[in-house]
Formats: sequence, C-alpha cells, structure tokens
Amino acid sequence: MTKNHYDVLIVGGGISGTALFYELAKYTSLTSVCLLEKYEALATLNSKGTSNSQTIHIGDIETNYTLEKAKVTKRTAKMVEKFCLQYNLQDKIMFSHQKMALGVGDKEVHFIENRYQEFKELFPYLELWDVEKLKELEPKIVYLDKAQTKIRPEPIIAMGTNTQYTTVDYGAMSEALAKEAQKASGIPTDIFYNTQVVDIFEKEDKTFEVHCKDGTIYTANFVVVNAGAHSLFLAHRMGYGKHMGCLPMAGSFYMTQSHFLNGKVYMVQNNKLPFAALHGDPDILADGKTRFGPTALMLPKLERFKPGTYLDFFKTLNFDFHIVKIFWDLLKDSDIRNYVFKNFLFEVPLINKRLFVQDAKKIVPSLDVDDITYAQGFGGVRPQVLDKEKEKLMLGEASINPGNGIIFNMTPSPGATSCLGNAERDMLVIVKYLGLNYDETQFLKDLTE
Amino acid sequence: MQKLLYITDQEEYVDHSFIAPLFEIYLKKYLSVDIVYFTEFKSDFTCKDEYHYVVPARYKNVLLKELKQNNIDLHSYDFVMVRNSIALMKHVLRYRDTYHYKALYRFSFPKRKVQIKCNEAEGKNQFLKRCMHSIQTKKEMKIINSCDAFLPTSKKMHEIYRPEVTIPRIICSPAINPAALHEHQQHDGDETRFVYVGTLDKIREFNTILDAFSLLENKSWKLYISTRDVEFAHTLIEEYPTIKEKIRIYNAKTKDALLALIAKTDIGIALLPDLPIYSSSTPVKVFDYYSSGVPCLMTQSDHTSTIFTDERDAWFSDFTIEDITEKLNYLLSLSKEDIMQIGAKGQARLLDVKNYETLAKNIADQLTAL
Repeated sequence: MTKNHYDVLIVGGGISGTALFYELAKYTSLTSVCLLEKYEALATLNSKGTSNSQTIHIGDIETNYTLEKAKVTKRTAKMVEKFCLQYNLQDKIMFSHQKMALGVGDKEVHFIENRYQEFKELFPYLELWDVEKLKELEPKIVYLDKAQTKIRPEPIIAMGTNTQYTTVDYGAMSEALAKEAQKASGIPTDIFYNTQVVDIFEKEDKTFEVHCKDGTIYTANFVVVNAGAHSLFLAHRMGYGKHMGCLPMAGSFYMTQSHFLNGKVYMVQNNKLPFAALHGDPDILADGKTRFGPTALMLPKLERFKPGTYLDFFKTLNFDFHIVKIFWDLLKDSDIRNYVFKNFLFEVPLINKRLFVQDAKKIVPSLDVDDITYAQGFGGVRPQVLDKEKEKLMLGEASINPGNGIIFNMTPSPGATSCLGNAERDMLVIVKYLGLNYDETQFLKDLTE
Repeated sequence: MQKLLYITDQEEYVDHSFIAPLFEIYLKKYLSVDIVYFTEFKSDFTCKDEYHYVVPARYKNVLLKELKQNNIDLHSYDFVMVRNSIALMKHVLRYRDTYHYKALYRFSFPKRKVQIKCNEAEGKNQFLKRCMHSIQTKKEMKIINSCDAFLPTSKKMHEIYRPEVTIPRIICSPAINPAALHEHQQHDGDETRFVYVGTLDKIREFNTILDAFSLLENKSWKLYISTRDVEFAHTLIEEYPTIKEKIRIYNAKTKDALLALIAKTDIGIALLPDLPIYSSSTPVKVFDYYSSGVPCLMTQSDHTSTIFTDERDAWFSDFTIEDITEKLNYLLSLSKEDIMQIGAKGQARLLDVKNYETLAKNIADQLTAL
C-alpha cells in the first residue's frame, strides 16, 4: 500500500534523524519531508537520556581527541548549544556543570599538562587545576578516605572548566528538534511512529521505495537512514557498505545513592580502546546523582532493552575472514583482552559491583560498594563500525553515501554531540542532489559562532 | 635532497632528550627528515606539521600501513630509521623491498639490561629474565644484521652490548647543541652549588655521593638534584639528616627548565659506578651541564677521558667515598672564577669535538655512502 511521496524521507527518529529533519524543514526549499520511527516515540534507544552520558563532547576534556578532531567537534558541539539557546532550552534540557579531565600518576599528569598547553588556544576557558584547587572543586577525587583527612599518594592534575554548557538530555532535544521542525515550515513535515522499515529499493526513476513491516510503502526522492546499527543492516540489504561490519557495544552505568561529584570527571583514555574511559557525571534525569560508567560489553543484538534483533546482529556483523582478523588483532593485545574480560565481569551479578568499584576508585579513591548501585535500565548500544578493508575497528562515526540519493549513517559517540553538524553535511548533499535552495546565512547565524 | 623517516619509540609529549636537535635541526641541512612519535592517549593519526607525525600506539604493529592510509608517501623515503624498538624494526624491514628504502637501526641505550641490573640491585632474582634477555638479544642481533646500518650511541656500546652486529656502523652519540648554549649565571650565594641531573635508582648508588658530601668539613655548599624519581630522592636524603637541609630536589619538566636550573649552579655531578652501561658512552647530563657553562665532576672512563682532561676542562674522580670526598674538598677550595673558567674550557672543548653540527654532517655523509 503506497502512502505518500516525499522529497526526503528519514529513517530513524533519534537525535541524528531529528536534527536532519529540523535542518531540512527550516533551512531548505524542499516541499516535503517525512520521518519514520520504529517505536512509539522519538529517541527511545540510544538518544534517550538514560542511554548515554548526556555529555556535550566538545573535545576539551576528551583526552583521546587530537587537536584537529577537537576543532571539528567544537564547531558541531557549539551547534547543539546554539540550538538550545535559540529555543530557550537552557536549564530545561541543557545544563552547565563543572567538568574536567583528570590525570592520575606521573605519566598522565605529564600528559594533561602538555595537552592543556596544546589545547588552551582552542579552548581558552580551560584551566589547569592542581591538588589544592581540586580540594575546593572536587574534594572526593583528592582524598583517600571519606573523612577527607588523607590525600591520595599519586600525583594528580586536571584540566577543566566550570563556565560552559556541558550536559544535554538528547532524548528531550530530539523531541524539541522535531517540534521546531514542524513549527518552522509550511510544508508537510510528517512523523510516523511504530513504523519499522524492513527494506529499501531503488526504482528505475531514481526514486526510492521504503517498505515497512506493516506493509506500508513510502516513496521519496532522497532517503537518509539514521537508524543506529540498523543503518548498516539496511545498507547491507541494498548491497551497500559490504566492506563494513557492526559490533554493538553495550554500555552500563552505576549510580550513587545521592549527589556525589560536583561535576563531570573524565579520566585519561587508553587510545587502544574506542570507548570513553570510565567517567563520573551528575545525572540530570536522576536528581544530580552521580552516574559512573560506561562499561563496554559486546552484545549480540542491535538494540538494548528491546526484544529481538539477535539475527540482525549476525547479519550486520557481516562475518568473514576480515572480521576474524580484526578480532584477532584486537584480542592479541593484552590491554584489550583484559579490558574485554573485565567489562564482561562488570555485568556478572554478585561480583560486578565489587570489581567496578576497583576501577572507579581511580576517580574517587574512597568509593566503596555501598556507595553505588547498578543503574537498572540505564545504558545503550554503541554501533561500533568495523572496517573490513582496513581491517580495523573504526573510532567514532561512519557514513555510507553511494551518491545516488541515499545515505546511511552510523553514529556512535560522539554522534549526539555532532548531530547538527552531521545533519548539515547531509543537508548540503541533499540540497545539491535535489537542486534545492538553502538559507545558508540564516543557518550559520542560528547555529554557528 | 634524500629523505629520512625517523621512527622513535618515544611519546608525543616527551621532552625528546638531547639528541632531538640532531634530527630536528642539524640533519635537516643534509636530509629531509620526517619524524614519527607515538601517543598512548589520542585515538587518531595527527600531522603536527609537515614533518612530524603522531601515531596512536595501538598502530605500532601496522605503522607503515597506517602512514600510508594517511597519505604519507612511503616511496619517497631513502632511509627509514627505527629507534630502539626491535618489533618496529622488524616491521620496517618487512616492507624494505616494497618501498626501496635503506633500513637503519638506532640503539640509544641497553634499556633491558639496565632494568635487570636495577632489579638485581633491589635484590630481585633475575635468573629467568637474564636467560630471556640472552635469547632475545640473539634474536635481535639477527634482525639488526638484516638492516643496512647500525647506529649505536658509541663504539663501546656496540662492542659491549651488540658485538655480533656486523653491518656498517654509524656512531650517533649525544653532543652539544651549539644553538642552545645557556650563559652561566653567577648566583649571589656565597656557597658552592652542585647539581645532579638524571635518574636516581639503586644501581646508580647515589648514596656513595651523599656519603662523601656528609663527610665534608666545609659546609659552604648546596646540592641541587633534578630527577623524575622525586620520591626515591626524598627517601634517600632522609637517610642523611646532617646534610638534608642542604639538598634541594626538583623535577624540571622541560629541557629549557632544566638548563635554566643548571645555569644557576656551579658544578655538575656525573659520578657513576664503574659499570659498562655507564662507561660505554658519555652521560647526556655532561652535555647538559656544559651547555650552561657548568663544569663537571665525573667518573673517568675510556670515553670521558678522550674528550676531557682532568683539572683543565673537567674533574675526574673514582667512584669511592674517599676519592669523591677529597675531590669535593678540593672543589670547595676553588674560587668561582676558577670554576667558571673550567666550565668555559669544557664547553669550548665539546663544541670542538662533540657538537651536533659536525656530527650531523658525518652521519649524513655515511648514510649517503651506504
């Protein structure tokens, strides 16, 4: 049953899909746009506030970012901030917290000092905080004991700030993006919920047919799939992105019983691991209780806390010799092997909390098992992409654009932060492909510095 | 101009020792030099500028592939030099025929051997490690012999630690950087200031030096120590309550900070036990001292005595409490002007026989002749 034809059809109503929906509706001359969402509401999976760290990853305290990468993420992160300020969403869905990257031990201290020097021009608000300053700002990371009488023996230093917006409920932002898109434009901006896309076909007239599980068929001149790990699943079904596989990594969190840390505390990241190092964040959806995590566990399914998708995982993994080689290369490194094993144990009841606390003590030395509980229902799945040609695990986002009017995006962290930047990239492709007009002046004025 | 890719096992932010000027400045007069550093913390490849690449440490095993993927033209290199890492050297050798470069191995210091010695000094049983070391060294010799040239820090280091290496040898020793000489700053204090720079551990037996200091009757002196092993230094001086007030411990973070600290002192100390790991080359700290015009009290070795002359441009002492005490007493009797003159002569001597300008030319000539 064919329902409607659109200029652009977006598959996936998370933060990436709604950001594109917003930009297309507000800044281009297209005549219709449609968003298809598999579930009953927007952002029920990884964009949901409980599924991620709620962090604006601007690149200042993310120690694995190079300066070049930070220049890019700074621009896209500022777009999130500008959007929220434009619609007066500060202190509603966007918040300001203190944040820092903490170096522990000589090697990390040396690294943080040098990184601060390298990055301070790009982020002039950054400060270098020594033990004395940290005693004032975040005393729990300084002391060995709860009474705060003994200072931890290893040297520590942090680079951080308490003047910036740091935290966003990306679930709520997805809703805001969709709402503002529909308000901003006089054109049809349809959103269909409970609409699971199962297949996409390219027709002879260069348009696309999007087939849904309920039998509905939508057609569009351009399709963008922003469906997390399912983007690659759908790409593979169309014969695209066969050089990629997807490794879903589930992240879980532990929550303190009450307000614990004053702000976000990130640790220095091991570059061998594509996942953020353990960090502590005040949770804006849990009365500021501190959330420690995430852990990282390979999960043989594409969606967390939803039934099924096991078979989709095996199809999306695209298993072959190259995948074996990537796994072999990863697991032959003892750091990664230990990390994988340890993170598996973090999910095992009875011992998980005890083991997790050992790790989290690097942030708060006085933390003990009674301080935290496993955050039930928190966490998501990061669709990490495996590049079979280069035989390596890709860090960050991946996009497949065959150039014929369809784009597939996989956007693990920092995908939420870069949602408006990624949407801008796709919007420009669409504008060019469909011969549309685009109000660049207004776009830059609204969303960039 | 021929092109060299220098792959060092050092970290991106490490203050790249005294030998860095050789590759960063002086060799560039003769060769185009690109340098690869590693990062344990950042996730992506970075071109710091046209000549410096920073590669995440996880790509060490596939380094050349990673460079290629980041548009570095490996065919453009005439030489690829690896510093200290045999695994990296093996990787570079694997692609030598593909990219047609000469493979060079730079051996700066016998780190593994030193680690074993340190552990033994701490009373740890190192039998297994010694066996493993012998096996590994044999394997390494094979790999090094597959290279086109071997660049040890000194002739002695080659003869003692890698004697079976038979490929052409090019000495790549530390030297003085003519462009980074600090003028000696005469301090206001009446006392004579000594300075020790570098690692402190059991194997270096710094307690022998402190024993000598504690025997001095003349108390008009201070000892400045700059070391990364601050904790060890503090623990050690606690054992010397009569002189601990005279000792100041620093951890100079950069070469500039270190040279500035040295410049405010009078006499450098490079006294080390009579072990081949120390006597097979001139300690880098000696060049640090003389760069600031500070003369040095050092242990005499085949190496140091080919450069310096006792009482003319340096002072020699055996590594015994008695000898060091006697020498310290003598030094305390000298005027500041006398000391400064020795420092100036030593600096001039190093500029004459061990400076990066001439060393670079020598290395470039030998590489071209390969």
